[in-house]
Amino acid sequence: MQYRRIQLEVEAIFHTDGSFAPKRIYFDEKPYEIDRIIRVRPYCPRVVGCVAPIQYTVLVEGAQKKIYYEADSNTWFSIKECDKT
Amino acid sequence: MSERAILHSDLNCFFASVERVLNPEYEGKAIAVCGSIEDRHGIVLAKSELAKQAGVKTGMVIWQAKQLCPDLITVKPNYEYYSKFSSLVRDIYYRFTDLVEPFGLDECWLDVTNSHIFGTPYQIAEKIRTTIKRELGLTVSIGVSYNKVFAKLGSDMKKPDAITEISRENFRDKIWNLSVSNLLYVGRATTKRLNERGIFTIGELASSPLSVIQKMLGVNGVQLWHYARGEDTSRVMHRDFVFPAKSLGHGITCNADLENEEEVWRVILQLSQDLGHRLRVHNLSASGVKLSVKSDDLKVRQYQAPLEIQTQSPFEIATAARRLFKSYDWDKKVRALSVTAIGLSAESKPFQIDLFADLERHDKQKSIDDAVYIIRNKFGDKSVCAASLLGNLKMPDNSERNSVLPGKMFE
Repeated sequence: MQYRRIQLEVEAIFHTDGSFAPKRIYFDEKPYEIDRIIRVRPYCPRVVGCVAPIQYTVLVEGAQKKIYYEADSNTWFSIKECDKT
Repeated sequence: MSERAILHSDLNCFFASVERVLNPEYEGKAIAVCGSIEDRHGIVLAKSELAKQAGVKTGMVIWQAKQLCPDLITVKPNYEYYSKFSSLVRDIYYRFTDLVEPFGLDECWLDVTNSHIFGTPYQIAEKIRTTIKRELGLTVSIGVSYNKVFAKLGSDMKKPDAITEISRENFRDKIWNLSVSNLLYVGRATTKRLNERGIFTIGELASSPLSVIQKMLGVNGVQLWHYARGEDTSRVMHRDFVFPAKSLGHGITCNADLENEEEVWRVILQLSQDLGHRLRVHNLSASGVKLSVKSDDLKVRQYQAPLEIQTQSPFEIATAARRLFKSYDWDKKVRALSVTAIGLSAESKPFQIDLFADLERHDKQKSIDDAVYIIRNKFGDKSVCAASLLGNLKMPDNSERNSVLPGKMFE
């Protein structure tokens, strides 16, 4: 199985203590509300190239999803499985 | 006083591991991070576990490495990322202790004597190992002991991704059978001298009379003897400690061999530009110059001499290096050069002037250097330069640099 890194457009809220949390993900130009953040932890997925990302396990439309924030590039991404070509 | 708890953490195949994290398609493949063939630096800088098993060694020429391992994938170094990951790993160490002493980009000592809240030293090592793997995707070997030297030996024992504990009770079994060349600061020359006296293992060194070792190796021998016996008492420095630079150097492997003194002078002058700038930035002056010359048969000759007047001046450093080069025997062409400013001290520190030194000339040169520095600051590095530095210097764009990293552990 191969994996691909999918860059995401994410709206986040920045709190007064400097922390931030994702609120909404835009995918195929459609907004998806993040209902709840279940878990936040530093985690390197090792199946796609990345530098010390933070993994957010979130609830989107009732389904659990994992998205990542990479401070090094200041971007958000998710990981998609794809067939070996 | 309770026993010290020292960890030595060594990132496994660091450069190659970082490349694998950045490019997961390298997983399960033999890869080697190599210098540029075009810049005549085509050697293996680091290799993955699989490449190591195939016999690829650091420092090997690329074509030799590929002969040993035909499937070897060679990649160019990404020093920016190696620095970044090194810093990220250190941030993890700082979660457990403030006493963290780097030993290069991929190794660190940690003093966790007072970090009981995180568990026993072994448990702390285990937490560090799993955290680095989980958060950064890198593996690490950690040695746990009561002194730095044994902790380092411990981290060398099991690779990759492992922890080795060496205590006062078991060090004779674990350490004393190892070859003496494994001991910190025992290089090829020292190993040879010890072997000539029938000392082949660390245990044999430890059991030898101190007077014999001292006679053979002097003050350094005494230190090694204590190291072998587990009597190293050197401390782990605090994370904020900055090692005072003892020397600053700049070296280059030329694109093509240098064939005459004029070509050598131009390279020396160019190397000295960067040196002078770094001395200025660090507010240091040099009281001596060292010149290393590598000929096309890869032999290295070193020359060094004191300077008449302590200086930051690139021109004065270059002139001194050029005088040293007069000793070079032109039986071979020159492949690489390195100029090092030695005997560093603070620029503001008063120094004894040589009776015959030309102070007026030195002051004039300083005025010129100050003016050049101001112009370059305002208009860029290339805005002004010596006329002799125009044209082809036979130098690649990205020149090597000696990092100001501690080559000796904190005592």
